[in-house]
Amino acid sequence: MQFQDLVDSYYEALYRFAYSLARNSEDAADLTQQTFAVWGEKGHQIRDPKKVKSWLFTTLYREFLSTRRHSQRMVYDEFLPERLPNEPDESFVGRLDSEALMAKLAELDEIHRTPLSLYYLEDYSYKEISDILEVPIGTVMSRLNRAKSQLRDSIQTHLKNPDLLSFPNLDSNAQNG
Amino acid sequence: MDKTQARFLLRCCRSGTTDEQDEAFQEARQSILEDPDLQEWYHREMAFDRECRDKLQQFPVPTDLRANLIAAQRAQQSQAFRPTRQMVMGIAAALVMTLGALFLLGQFLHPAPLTASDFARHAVLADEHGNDPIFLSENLDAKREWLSRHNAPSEWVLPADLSKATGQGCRTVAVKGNTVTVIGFKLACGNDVTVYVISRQALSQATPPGELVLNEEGRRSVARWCDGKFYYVAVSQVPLNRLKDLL
Repeated sequence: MQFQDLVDSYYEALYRFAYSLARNSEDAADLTQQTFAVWGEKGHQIRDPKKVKSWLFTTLYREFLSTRRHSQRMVYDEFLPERLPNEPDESFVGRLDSEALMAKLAELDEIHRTPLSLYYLEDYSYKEISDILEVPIGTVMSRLNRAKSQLRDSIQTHLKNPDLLSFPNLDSNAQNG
Repeated sequence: MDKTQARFLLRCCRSGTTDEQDEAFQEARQSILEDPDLQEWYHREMAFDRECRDKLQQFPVPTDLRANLIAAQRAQQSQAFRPTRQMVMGIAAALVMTLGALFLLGQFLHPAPLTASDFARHAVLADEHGNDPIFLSENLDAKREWLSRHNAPSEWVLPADLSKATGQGCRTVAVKGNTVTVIGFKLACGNDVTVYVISRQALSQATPPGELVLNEEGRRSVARWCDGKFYYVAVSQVPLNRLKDLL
């Protein structure tokens, strides 16, 4: 696949995924750039064209992990009691625009927003998400459930109190944990 | 499967993907048909997912990102092919070393042609430095066997009178990559005669078979001749006439 075709096919999806991880446009663009740079070095090793997309997303995620400050607090709540999903209010998401919704997604803990980003942005199945993030299937399922609950809570809180919207000033919080 | 379990599965499994092969997901989907409440919840959940997906997939992407990505790739490619000063120096050094190695290897594999005169000079020099035999035996057959094992000429034919002299032993020496047989004899007068034997094919200009060439090199008498297979140089401190009588 020619490089320009590759860019045209995936750069928007990769950028959105990168944005959901990095939570700012500059870092998202850098991550996208770096992903294609890695492709330039190693892309020829991929023989199966069907694996190109998941390779790109996996690479972007790895790049994000390698560049992220290790001091960032990680929330490992796999062993917390499962939260019961909230009852969804019909069409309340429709009251948000895409940037506001991305902001709410970006407020989630990293381990929750990453699989949910792949779920919404690229319609990946939980098994594909498991492959990309290299975490067990059961873990992906738990994280997706919690992520949806958190996102819904966050949206509902925002709609009740719009002034509480803190995005996009999340970068410093993210770095400091 | 209770309602909580069904909701858990329905929330993270996606229809139209490999998730559908999951038996638990299939069971959860069956529960929807049997439970109106769950069905209503599932529809709301799907609507929530659709709205989230549609909104997030509309999230704006910087207008210049595509151009930047392609420009960066071009820069990366051109940088990959632009040699630095260190690379040039390194390549040049590697080239010189490679050529040198190839030259030496060529010398080893294809030594410069050796003339009969060169070989005679080598024989005299070797004789001046001394060529003590390594394999000590008076028996010619034993010498031939030892020389054969050392890939040296072993099927030589020596003049009868010389063969009657007392054999001292033999050894091999290398002359320009060729293995040379060295055979020593002790004459009744006490002097030595050393014969150097090389494959005739190793020489570019060999004396025609049957022709004997005699000369003196310093204090040494030198005789050269050849047969169809080998070239011979005999070196001794006996007078040239005495050496000639032996051949």
